Amino acid sequence: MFATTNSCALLGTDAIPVRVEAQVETGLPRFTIIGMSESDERETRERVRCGLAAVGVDLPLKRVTVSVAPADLPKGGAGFDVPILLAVLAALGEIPGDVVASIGAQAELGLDGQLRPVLGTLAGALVAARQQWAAFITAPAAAERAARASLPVWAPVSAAELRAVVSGQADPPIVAVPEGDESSPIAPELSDVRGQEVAIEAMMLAAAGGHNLLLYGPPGAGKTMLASRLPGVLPRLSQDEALEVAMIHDAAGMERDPASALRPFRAPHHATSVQAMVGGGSARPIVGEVSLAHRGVLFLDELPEYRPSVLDALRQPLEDGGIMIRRARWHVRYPARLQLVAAMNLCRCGRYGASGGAPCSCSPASRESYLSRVSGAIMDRFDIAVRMAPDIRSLDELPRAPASSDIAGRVAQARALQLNRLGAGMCNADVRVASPRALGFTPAARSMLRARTAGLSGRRLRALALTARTTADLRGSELVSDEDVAASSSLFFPVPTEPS
Amino acid sequence: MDRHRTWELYRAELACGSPLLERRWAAACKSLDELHGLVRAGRAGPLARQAMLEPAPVPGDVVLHGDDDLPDALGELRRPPLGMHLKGNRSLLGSSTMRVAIVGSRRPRVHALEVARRISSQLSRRGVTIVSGLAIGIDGAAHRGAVDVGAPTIAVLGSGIERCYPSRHRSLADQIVACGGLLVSEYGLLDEARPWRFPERNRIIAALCDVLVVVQAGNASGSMGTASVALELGRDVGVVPSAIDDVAFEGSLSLLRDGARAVVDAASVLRMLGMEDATSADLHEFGSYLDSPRDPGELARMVEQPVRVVASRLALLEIDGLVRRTDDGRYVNAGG
Repeated sequence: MFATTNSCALLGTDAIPVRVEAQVETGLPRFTIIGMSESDERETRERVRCGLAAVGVDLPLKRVTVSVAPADLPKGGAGFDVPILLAVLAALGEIPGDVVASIGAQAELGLDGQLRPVLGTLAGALVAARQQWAAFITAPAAAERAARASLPVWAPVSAAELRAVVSGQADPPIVAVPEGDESSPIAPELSDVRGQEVAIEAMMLAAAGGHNLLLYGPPGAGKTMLASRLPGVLPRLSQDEALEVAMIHDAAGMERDPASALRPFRAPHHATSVQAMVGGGSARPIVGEVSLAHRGVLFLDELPEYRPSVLDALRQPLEDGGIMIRRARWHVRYPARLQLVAAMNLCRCGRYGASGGAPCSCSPASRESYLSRVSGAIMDRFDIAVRMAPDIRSLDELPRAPASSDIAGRVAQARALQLNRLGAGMCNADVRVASPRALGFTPAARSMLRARTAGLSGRRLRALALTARTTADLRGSELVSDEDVAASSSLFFPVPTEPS
Repeated sequence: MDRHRTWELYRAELACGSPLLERRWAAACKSLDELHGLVRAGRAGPLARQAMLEPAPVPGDVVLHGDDDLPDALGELRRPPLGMHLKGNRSLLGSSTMRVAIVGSRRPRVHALEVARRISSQLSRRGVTIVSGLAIGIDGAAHRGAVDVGAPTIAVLGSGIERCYPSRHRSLADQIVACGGLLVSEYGLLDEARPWRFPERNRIIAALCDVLVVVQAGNASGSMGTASVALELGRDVGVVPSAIDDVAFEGSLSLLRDGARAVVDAASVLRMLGMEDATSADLHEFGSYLDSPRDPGELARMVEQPVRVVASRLALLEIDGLVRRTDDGRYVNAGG
């Protein structure tokens, strides 16, 4: 007999719907699975055999063939155990074929017949919702996550329970969407920061316009601390965006509450490899840091310490908002729309430019070689660069920063203006070609812009123009004044990185 | 006797010599006449004898012991130079110009660099010739300050003029000559910089100047050596002060303790020279706040104005060339 059911294959961070078919016919007894790699097939067969034993069904003395289609899709992981079990049971007549054909499943089978979760369940559930399957079966551990996809999710504990449910002998264990709990993660609070008024302005500007931000200066100024406060002032994720981010994390095997509207904040260490940073992997696609930071912030502390190859690999995600991984058998596009924040010292010992303490022990040649580790191409990506030095004022004199919620409010207002001007999902930093006239620059502002960017690259002109535009947005003004341009150029323009 | 030739032979002999050899030769003769005598008497080394067989090279621009235009000041040294190669405006060696030497550490604080550059610019504007050693750090800043305002400056090298040490200052050296300045070297054109040549070059700096300004000196540093020669010669020594516990300024502080004058601006130096101290009108509202490099945030607090307002003023001042941005992102007064 012939039976079919549905499942999903995780490709990158998204899932592709997959059809599982089973055919039982007369012939020499054999149990074959096609559409998988050899080693995967061997292992899956063993697990399915155990699953069959767990429900008390023996493989008949016939030829049983299972196909997981399409065949040319890479199918790693054990998520097909349960759908194959269902298809085989249906093909043997043990459970109704019409029920099985309308549902989807994605779970691993233990040797004792228990269901286990696999990576990419949330992605699978979203596909199931799109395909409008009658139900989605997954292991109990992954059920809550899958339930977010707004479709019926069944989470039986064992294969036996599953068989009973499908045969109609038991009620399906439907999983409810969990109540949004108030204890969702909160970002670090901005008012913990003291002093550093200019840097806080810079961060607010970066948050409002989606600009990439560089913090530079001697150590101990609080660069890392300030960077970690950024997610707390960025606009919250919409429901769809939150689900998307949760899906990506799920595909990477990382815990993330799908209800959380907090933007992700990733801070990979500077020994991170290119693969770990952008994704890749040969046997199966690995989710990189840039994708985990999708719709959030990627923070690179001590920028010149990163390998040049790693920094170079960042150019595609920064340019395209995604990363394309091509291999011989498949290619996958990972989403990677992120905001880049970096911190750096001005020299290897870190003390160049510090007003007190031990003097900088680096020679100019050593400083130059340190700074040149960050290519001009990456430096150019930062629209805003601000100097942070340890504040010499005493603790009582240092004012506290405003609360995250206050700044977030101002940022949200500025973003609203950008929504009006640019359309949904766009912010100032996304603008490709910055035309001052179109952006509402006054004539005085235009000449100031020209004066401040004389002899500099088109990129720098664009960066200053957009930063000034965001400054005006924060003021709530439609027009960009020359003061906006002038102030932005003094406070936030990157310094030349050649020591004199 | 061809004095040029004698000196050429002397330099040829010492081209790859040792400090001991140089000292021995130097101790042996106080004048080119004595040197010539030694050479004639066959006591020249193999290299010199070799060079004697070759045709005499074109002398190039040199000034020799005994020449009229060798500055008298150099004769005050215990061991005056037997000759020097020159490149650029020779007349700067004449005694009509006031010369101020600005020396200091090769790894200076950023603000010390700014002080050196600024004082150099301001003094140059008043017609003073700045003398320094073309080293990285304070020396470079001093020369740059003069070049910034297109004024001549004298650089006394620790290497041959063609060898130009440090190599990263090659373009600075060209700029110095282009602005009517002068490069001076006691060594052969292609002689390399060697450790013992720097103290020797420092004595020339000390002798050439009327006033020596030490911008930043640690303990037992080259600048301290220059200061002690200057004091021996009776030159006035000025020192830029700093925080009392800054280890990078230990040498400077000891000089101040011993009675050197404090130099906080160009006016201090002008007073030491006996020149009129012109009051500089505040060229802009931030005035002397920006004499040291400042963060816009810091400056805004000092003048008690909002950061944004201060920042846009700074932009305009930068466009007008009245302030400059340091390479670590702070603002400072540019030149005079």
